[in-house]
Amino acid sequence: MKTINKKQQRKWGIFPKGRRAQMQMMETIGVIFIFFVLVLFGSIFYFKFQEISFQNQQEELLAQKAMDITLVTLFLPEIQCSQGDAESEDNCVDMTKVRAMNMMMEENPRYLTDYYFNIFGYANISVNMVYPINYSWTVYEFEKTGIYDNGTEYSAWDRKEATYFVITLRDGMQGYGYDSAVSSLFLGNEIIYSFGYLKIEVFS
Amino acid sequence: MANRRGQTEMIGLVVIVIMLTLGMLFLAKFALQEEPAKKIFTRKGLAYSTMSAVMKTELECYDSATSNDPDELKVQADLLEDCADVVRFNTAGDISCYGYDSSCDLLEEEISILLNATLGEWHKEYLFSAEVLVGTEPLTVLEIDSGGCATSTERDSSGLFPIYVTNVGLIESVLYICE
Amino acid sequence: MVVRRRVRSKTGQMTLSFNWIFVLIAGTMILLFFVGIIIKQKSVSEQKLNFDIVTVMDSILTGSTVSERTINFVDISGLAGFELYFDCELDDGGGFDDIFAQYGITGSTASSELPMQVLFAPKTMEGTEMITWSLPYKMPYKVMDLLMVTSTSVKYYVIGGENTAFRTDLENATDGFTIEFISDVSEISSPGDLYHVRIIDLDGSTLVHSMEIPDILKDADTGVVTGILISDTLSSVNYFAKNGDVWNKLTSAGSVPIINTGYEEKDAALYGALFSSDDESYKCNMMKAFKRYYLVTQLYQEKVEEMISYYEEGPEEAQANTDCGLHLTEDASNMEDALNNLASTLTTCIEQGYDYCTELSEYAREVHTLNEALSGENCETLY
Repeated sequence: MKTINKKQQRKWGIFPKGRRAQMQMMETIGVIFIFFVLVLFGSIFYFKFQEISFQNQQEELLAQKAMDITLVTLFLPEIQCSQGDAESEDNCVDMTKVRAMNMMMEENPRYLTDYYFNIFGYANISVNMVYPINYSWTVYEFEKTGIYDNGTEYSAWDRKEATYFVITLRDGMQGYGYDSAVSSLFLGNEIIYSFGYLKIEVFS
Repeated sequence: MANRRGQTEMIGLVVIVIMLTLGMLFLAKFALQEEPAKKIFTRKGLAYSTMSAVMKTELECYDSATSNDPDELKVQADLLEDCADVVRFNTAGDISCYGYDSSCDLLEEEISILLNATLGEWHKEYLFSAEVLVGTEPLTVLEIDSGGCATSTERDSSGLFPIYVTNVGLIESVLYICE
Repeated sequence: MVVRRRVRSKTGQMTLSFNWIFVLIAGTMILLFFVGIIIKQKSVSEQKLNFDIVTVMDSILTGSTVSERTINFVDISGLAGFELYFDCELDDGGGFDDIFAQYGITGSTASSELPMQVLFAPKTMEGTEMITWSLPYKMPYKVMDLLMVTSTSVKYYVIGGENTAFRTDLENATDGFTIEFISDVSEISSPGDLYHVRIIDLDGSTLVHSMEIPDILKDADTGVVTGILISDTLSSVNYFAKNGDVWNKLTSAGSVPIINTGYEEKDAALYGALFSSDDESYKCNMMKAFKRYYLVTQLYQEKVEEMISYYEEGPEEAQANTDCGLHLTEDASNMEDALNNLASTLTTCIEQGYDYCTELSEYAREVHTLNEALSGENCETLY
């Protein structure tokens, strides 16, 4: 390598003649490289943050959907207690209508997919009695499922949000319409107003 | 060379300051997040609906161990009224159910079961209280406390469920729910 | 020696120029890179914002629908500059399966379909405050809640019908709306910044086909001014729209009958007509209500079967009350037959269209009468 004397060193710095520009170029490229590395780190950090933010938003949306479906279910004309021409009873489910709805859905399963799915989406809704007996009736059931190639079903949901709401269960026919398995549990009581809760599970 | 070092140090400092500022901003975002609206709504609505359901529930009252035909008595309209009478005037009350000393015992046991099977299962603390207003002083008719709700500041109320009973007075019932 | 000096000075000039060219190119590339990111992010953010708006609107509309008989004032000043549109169209068939309904933000892809929910609203809406009002549609049992959506930037003028119960009810119910109850068209003021003006004619004096519209409204755009004429008996409506300087009757094929029982103080079907943009939108939304009506009626048919069985084969106390069975199934006019008639009419109605739904009112009234009879005999009522 060609060496430089002190006079040349004072003039050109430590670099030999003709190399200074190259070194300056390298310096500039180095700065730009570091700059883009920082931009890259910033982008990774930003997109990671976006991903977490998106997941949080999905959870919030699911919670909001659960709340909306709870509200809709509580005021669903198909199961809400009515009092003739007067205002409907709040937070009350008419068990005669629940039984009627079960019958109707059994006889017309396409109502589930053609109509009620547009209201509730992927959700399970059940009416649960706590007193006088412990029993559960399904009002709506549509879990998010997939099918394997061999035809078996599997659960295809990522998240599930369950909401519970205490309600009064009214039965003007005092349990007459239940099938024998349920009737036998009532042991002769003639309760009109029972105690229970709605369970609403939504899937995403 | 000395100039260059100074510049390099300045750049380094600036980068650190920017990263610290960004970090603080993100921390602030999460720290200042409000409680999701859903939790608050569900608790308020839940307190009211639970209380309403409890008050309307009809409880079975057997007159003997072998009886197959129980009476169905409403919590608010029948049992609570009788219980207020029992507490106010220290009597045995008009309602007698097998297995219970008075309507108050029946109420306390059954309402506890109802609330435990619902609110308790969902890990919510609660306080059910029924008082009769005698003059200016309230007299406790019934109190069911799961623990921790009496002193909690974050609690939701069902609102008062009042009934007026002749010769007894105004009975006010309320349910508090807290997390 | 002289040659060396000249070479040195040229090197300096070349270095300087090259530096500047390099800086320009590199700088421009970096700037373009960031500008590209910004533009891309801007459009993504706008789309995200639009979808967020629709998501929030979904929630607001759901909440408003279940808060029946409640008027909600929703602050939408954050949506200033965004125009909302509400569409409900019926294809040629006119039945439930021919409905296409959605709402969203004009000029964006953010929208939400409304296959089931009944929503009466202007075709487009903009403003700082949205008003939602939900009323239960009872025929005679509750079918569903009908939601009316409007804005404080939509002005309603109610003309005629002084001292009638309907006008008084409307006046009492619409506190907070941009509504004025007038006795003459001369009282109408200039639209100004209003987004929409609707004239509600209760006596037929203002809305007549080809009649001149009030002078003060002549300069308004065509879509801004509309009208609805309500018949004396409140049993039918006609829609009008501004066409140049005259009124154009949109319902030239015939007025739109209001299908209700007439028992409700605030009839949801009638009030919905006031807020609906036109007859097609109204019929389209009512077809959704009739579909729900059909499902609820089927449910009550199942219930009545259980009731019949209860009073024929149930507990002794139930069997002892023989009047219940009469009203449910034995009498010439009985609940079972009334519900069957309803279900049959509804089947035709939802398949063929609104014009085949007019008989529903009569059968609904019959069910109401029978339910009252059941209540009078201490029987379990249908609803």
